[in-house]
Amino acid sequence: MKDKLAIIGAEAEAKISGCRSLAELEALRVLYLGRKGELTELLKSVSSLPPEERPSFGAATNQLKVRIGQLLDARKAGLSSAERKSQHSQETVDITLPGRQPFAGHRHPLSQLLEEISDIFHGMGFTVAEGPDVDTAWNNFDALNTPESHPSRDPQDTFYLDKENSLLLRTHTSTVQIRTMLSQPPPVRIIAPGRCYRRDAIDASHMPVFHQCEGLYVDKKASLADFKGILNYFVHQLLGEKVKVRFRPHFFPFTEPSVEYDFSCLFCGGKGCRVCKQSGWLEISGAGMVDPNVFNNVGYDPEIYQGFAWGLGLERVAMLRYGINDIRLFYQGDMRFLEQF
Amino acid sequence: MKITYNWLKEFIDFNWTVKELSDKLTFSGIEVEAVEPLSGGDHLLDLEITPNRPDCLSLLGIARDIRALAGGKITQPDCTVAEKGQPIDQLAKLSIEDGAGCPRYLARVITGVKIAESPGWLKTKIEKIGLRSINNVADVTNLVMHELGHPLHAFDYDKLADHTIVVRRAKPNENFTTLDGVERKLTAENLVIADAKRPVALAGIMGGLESEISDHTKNVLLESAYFEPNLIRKGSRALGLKTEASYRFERGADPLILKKAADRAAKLIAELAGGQVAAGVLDVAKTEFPEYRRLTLRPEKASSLLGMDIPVQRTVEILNALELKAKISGEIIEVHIPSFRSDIEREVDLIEEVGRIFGYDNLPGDRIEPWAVPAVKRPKDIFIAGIAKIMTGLGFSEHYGLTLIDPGQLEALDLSPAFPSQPAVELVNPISSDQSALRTILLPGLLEAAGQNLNNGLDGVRLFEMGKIFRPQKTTPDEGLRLGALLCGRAAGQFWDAKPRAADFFDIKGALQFLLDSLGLAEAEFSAEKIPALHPGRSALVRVDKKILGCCGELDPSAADKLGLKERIYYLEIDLELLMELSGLKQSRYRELPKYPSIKRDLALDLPAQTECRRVAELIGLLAGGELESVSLFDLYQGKQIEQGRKSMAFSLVYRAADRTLTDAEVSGIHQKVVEGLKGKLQANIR
Repeated sequence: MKDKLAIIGAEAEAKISGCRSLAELEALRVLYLGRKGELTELLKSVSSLPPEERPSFGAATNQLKVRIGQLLDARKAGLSSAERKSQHSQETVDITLPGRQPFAGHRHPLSQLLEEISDIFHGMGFTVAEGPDVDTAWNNFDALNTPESHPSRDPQDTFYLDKENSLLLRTHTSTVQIRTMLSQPPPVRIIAPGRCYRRDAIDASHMPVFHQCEGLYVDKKASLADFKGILNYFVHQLLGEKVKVRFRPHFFPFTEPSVEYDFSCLFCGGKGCRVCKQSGWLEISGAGMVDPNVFNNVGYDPEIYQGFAWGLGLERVAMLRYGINDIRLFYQGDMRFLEQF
Repeated sequence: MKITYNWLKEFIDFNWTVKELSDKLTFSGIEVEAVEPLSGGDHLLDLEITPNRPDCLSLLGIARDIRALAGGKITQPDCTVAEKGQPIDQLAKLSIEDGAGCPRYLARVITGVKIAESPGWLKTKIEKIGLRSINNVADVTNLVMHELGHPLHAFDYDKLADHTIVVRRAKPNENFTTLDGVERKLTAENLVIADAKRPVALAGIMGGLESEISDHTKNVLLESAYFEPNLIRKGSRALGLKTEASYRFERGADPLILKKAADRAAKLIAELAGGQVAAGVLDVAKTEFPEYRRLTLRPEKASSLLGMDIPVQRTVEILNALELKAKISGEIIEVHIPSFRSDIEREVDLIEEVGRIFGYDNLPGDRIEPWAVPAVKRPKDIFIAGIAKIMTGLGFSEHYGLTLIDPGQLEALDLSPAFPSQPAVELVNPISSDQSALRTILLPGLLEAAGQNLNNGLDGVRLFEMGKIFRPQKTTPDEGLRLGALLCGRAAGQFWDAKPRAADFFDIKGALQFLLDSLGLAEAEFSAEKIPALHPGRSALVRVDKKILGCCGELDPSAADKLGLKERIYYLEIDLELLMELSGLKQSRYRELPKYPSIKRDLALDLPAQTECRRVAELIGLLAGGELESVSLFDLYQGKQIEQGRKSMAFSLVYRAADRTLTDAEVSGIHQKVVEGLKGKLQANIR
């Protein structure tokens, strides 16, 4: 009987190792270990043995059962891994097909620019200040030392809401400077972003509605040199370390001394190109030391306080930065344009 | 103002090339806008003179700035006049009636002139700067205006009735023909130079045709006057007539240069046209003009304001070179301001003079004063940026619409009761009627952009805008902040394996729900409401805590037709300020996670078609009681498989108890109650 066990064992080992599929293996499991399998049958015949041999035969049969079970499991693991591998190798996708992604919208370039500008000025201690688009002629002109006869007050240039020309659409966000100074004592460090309005017909470089982000810094020692330092830091952060700043003396009613400031050309690096008209420089905006009359108008003592204010056109900077040559694009909501930012 | 390089050199000796000259002038406040080469190695320079510097509307003035920059000597034009004629008071009379408008008037008379073409040197000078040479008298006045900055006018002496000059206001409706041949109706606002009978010139603006110098002119009366700048500005603007003279007078001429300018011109006229200069001048002054005003400059204040130290010696040198006579007196500098610098009124004006000549290139560029308190973003800016992130995440791109809109379109686009579109604040002086009012809603701008995009061939549009709207009030309009979002055409974010789907109401509602949910306002209530601009059956008013937050829905198809929009438009507009306020009130609270398992049951109902989903869900909640954790719709069907006038809705119900494991039997009991209740209350059949 023990010989028979050995034969079954050897045979099972050979068959299991030679087995080529999970189905075949399952058949072998039934053949040897099933309820009617060879080993089960063999155990049933134990009664034909002399009683003293029975325990050792039973033990040997069970040992073989365990061993065949182990062989089957091992073979199954080997077989299924190979079979699954072959199956997986069939499951290919074209990974260059587009992924399932939500459709993403885009923030307006002027919003993106304003956020960047705000972040840079926040870092320098400036807070954002706002005011209404509709303001008084006093806040927009008188408080800013603009003479009664100044051409900017002309209804040719400024939108008015009343016949007396006392209520208007602000022509700059300097109104916010006035409102801020009227509402708080110095020191003041603000930037004032917002919509402005001028009576310009629409063309590639003019819109009746546009955006400014002006700035104001008032303290006891704030000087024109401080403005240069702040402007340098700002432009280096926003447009890169290589961009240079220069001042040209100018005249504005609300500042004295007044300057216009330029950036070195972003396109040619200052060598001269079509955009900068071969000058190497781009005119950006005006600035200067707040005129003492403005301080008097808001109740700041010009003998104690001084400071500077500057203008900045958002569209102008965005156009230079992104190489946009038509200001109308900012206001058309053309998705082919917006999706580029 | 245009000058030539060579002409300037007659006034001051400097060694700069044209390029150097342009740079130096530009960086000291006289911007050279263009340089153009001329024949003979000369160059034409086009200068932008800021309105505060009328003194620089002359070669002499520019020479002064150059002297301050580079040193060098100024050569004054020769103004020595030989008075060989009879005394002027025997020849002409002068009176000023409006002393405020004309504080000073001076005249010379030159007799026996012969009007002819100007000599070559004069013609060339005049023509190089773009003027037309007229004759030897007119050219001289133009020449002197450019040399000294003072406009002069030459009258034909014999055309002046009674040889009299009267400076007065025009009489109402007085007619007058200026030398450009235009007959003008004058008002009392116009200051005129008249003879004994009628006006002969518009003071400071333009002479008259009748008294103009002609080929037959024998005798000349030369005017050198000072007019009040504002009066000239108003007169020039009212008549729409700008001249080289008015340009200078409205900026402020030098009241003390009158004699010098008249002398220079008389001398040249006598030389070029022959004739004799009458002895003396007629000179009436209605105001005292002091030779100079006094100011003091504290070098320490200059250094504080500019942020750079300019040596006191250099400061004094600069001021003196500009003829702002300066003298150190202890800690301060005393300065005498001459009459031609009316722009310098305060210490700060002197600081600018010194600063601009010393050069702003010398300012240090690396100074930033530290600030003790760090600046932080305002909650509003954080909120706005957050909304923008959500909206772009939902596939909307940001639009900037114009604030100025056509009020005519507002009636058809009314979003009442959420946002009445009318009335709107209208401008007094719009450029055009389609930009004549301030927007009351964001809808018009987004519709226009949608139309453009569809015209551009895009098959779907998703845009949003966050911006101000304006509501009329008694005085200043009330400004509010809104969010508007529009979608149309092909629904966004569809995968290539799915059938393309057109956007519908539930895309815009879903976007709004997502936004509100993101802000903790998931309980917002949508109720069907008639909104004039929106589709009668597809519009909703949105409320949070009983407050109207805004609305959403399909644009009324007939409004869309009128605007030529081929697609169905879906739109939402909400009050951003209210949204910010409401979302700020929502504080998240933790609820304990469930300890016991849930049991899910589906419920398919056959209902009358008009039954609102919300009503069914609410009823289920009411009938099921505390053990119902959630109810959600998972299928809606209306069509062939179901009786007309009815629809099928399938809900998924999740039951759970907080304190125990629910048994199957318990849930079946509750579920049965729900089913019976729905049957009775909604004429529902269970499918």
